[in-house]
Amino acid sequence: MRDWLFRTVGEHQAAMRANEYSSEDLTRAFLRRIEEKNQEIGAYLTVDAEGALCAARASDARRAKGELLSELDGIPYAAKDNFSTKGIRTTCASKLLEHFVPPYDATVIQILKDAGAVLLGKLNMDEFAMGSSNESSAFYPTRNPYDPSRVAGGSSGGSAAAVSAGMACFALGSDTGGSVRQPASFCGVVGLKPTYGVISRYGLISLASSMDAVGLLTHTAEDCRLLLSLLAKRDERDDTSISLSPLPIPKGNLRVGLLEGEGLASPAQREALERAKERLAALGATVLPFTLPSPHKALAAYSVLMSSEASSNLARFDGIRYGSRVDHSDGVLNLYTDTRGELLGKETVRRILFGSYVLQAEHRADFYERARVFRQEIRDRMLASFAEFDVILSPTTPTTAFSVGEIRTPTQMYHADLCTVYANLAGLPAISLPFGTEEGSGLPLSIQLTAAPHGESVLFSVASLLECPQSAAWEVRV
Amino acid sequence: MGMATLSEQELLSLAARCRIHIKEENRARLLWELEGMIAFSSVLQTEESEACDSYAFSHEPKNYGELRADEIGESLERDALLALAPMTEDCYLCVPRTLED
Repeated sequence: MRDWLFRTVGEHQAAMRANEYSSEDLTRAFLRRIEEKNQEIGAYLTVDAEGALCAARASDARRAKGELLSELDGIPYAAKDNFSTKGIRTTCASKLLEHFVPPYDATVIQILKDAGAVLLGKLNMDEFAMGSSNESSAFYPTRNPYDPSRVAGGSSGGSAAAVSAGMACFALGSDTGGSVRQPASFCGVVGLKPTYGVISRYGLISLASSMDAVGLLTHTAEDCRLLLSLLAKRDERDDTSISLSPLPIPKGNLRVGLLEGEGLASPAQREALERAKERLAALGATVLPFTLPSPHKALAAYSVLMSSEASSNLARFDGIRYGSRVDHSDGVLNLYTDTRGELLGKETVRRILFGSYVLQAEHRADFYERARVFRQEIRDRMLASFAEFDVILSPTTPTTAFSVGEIRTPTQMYHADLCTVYANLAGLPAISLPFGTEEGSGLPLSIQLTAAPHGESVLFSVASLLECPQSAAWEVRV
Repeated sequence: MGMATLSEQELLSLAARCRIHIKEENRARLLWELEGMIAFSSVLQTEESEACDSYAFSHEPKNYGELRADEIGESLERDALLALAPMTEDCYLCVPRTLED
């Protein structure tokens, strides 16, 4: 049995059933681990030790009476700091929301509370979920548990690092262009972005509403399946929320499309992909090449759409309607501009300005409208491909985790999302799976599976064929 | 494709519209980065496309835009909401002047 802080939900439940330990014991162990490691890893922004212990004791009392609420009852988890949590500050890793304490819970937080799960605290992220390295957090960067000189990825870097470093059993993240799958890949954990709309986003602070999805970070695909079965439900408080209508698991030989294209993966990531391909082929799958319209054009379309929507969504953070404000400005206009100029980070400012630029009357047709049209092209192409394939196999990220400070321009950083933006542009479910480690560096390698809308069960089924938890080298993590 | 150009005046006008003050010492770097982002996205202009438009789709359009029942729900807690106010006086919430003389 693995170190208990790295166990799955099912393993914890079995141990607690056997009275090996209680939820309170487990929660205290995670809190100790957070205390020991957070200074180095920077995964947490806020720890709610008192609330967590109180929830754990309540769970133990229910267990003693045989009244467990769900399979997650008593399991400690953490949430990215863009989920509203009643009474616990929610900063989006921004100075502008440093003191914001929501008066209500996001739907997913409420569902987990009702299921008896134990919230340990709130996790670091790129400010307002804009970034791929966690370096744009206004507080401190999250570092990679495999090698602290490397980034954890982003924007849900705190979520991935917390699970990877044994600082939570599972974590919630958000995925607008790869923000769950990319850090999951860098930190050697499983990351799921479900079909657009199947998990409610009520209470999730918006980045780009047409692509934002609540995502899950776990040790195994089975844990993701378990969580999704609880969280996927129609919520009338989220206008885009839908019910999950699971696609059937394919019968007969699995048909796999292998995404091909120049520059999609480093030699090490390509080698992981080849191993996955061989493994599926050995199990009887038919693996055929698959190509998509220009990856760079997809990245550009994503960048334009995301920035446009973000520039609108973030207009409310002006020091009057939401957020902290500076106290030295004369007149209301200066109050707005000084507050946003001083309290928003560089990447956030860049994307707001860029989003506003591409929405201007003189540029809209050249950027925003073309991006929308290209998005539809991608969606049509991907949906058509699922007549031929059950899943698409691809790299999650072009490279393994890069060094802190290594990437210096915004457009270089955007390339980290090269293989993940398709699923967001098309609203498809996709999962990143750890798939061994790179020779020499010991950094995690990964693969990504993408399915048709509502194809999460297909993803979990194929993942179970590929998953090998022992391939992630637990012992090398800090 | 050549580098897109954006003047400092255009940057400041854009920033004013976004209600963001850009400090003088940050302008040159920001201008350069924004020009890079514009050039990066100019790849979208390389060819025409006949595809139709989509926006904020869902996979079950029948659900999209469905209205909630018009019923009174649970209210948020007054004290928790007021605690978020940056300025209060007695039991009042203070807002900066938003209308100028």
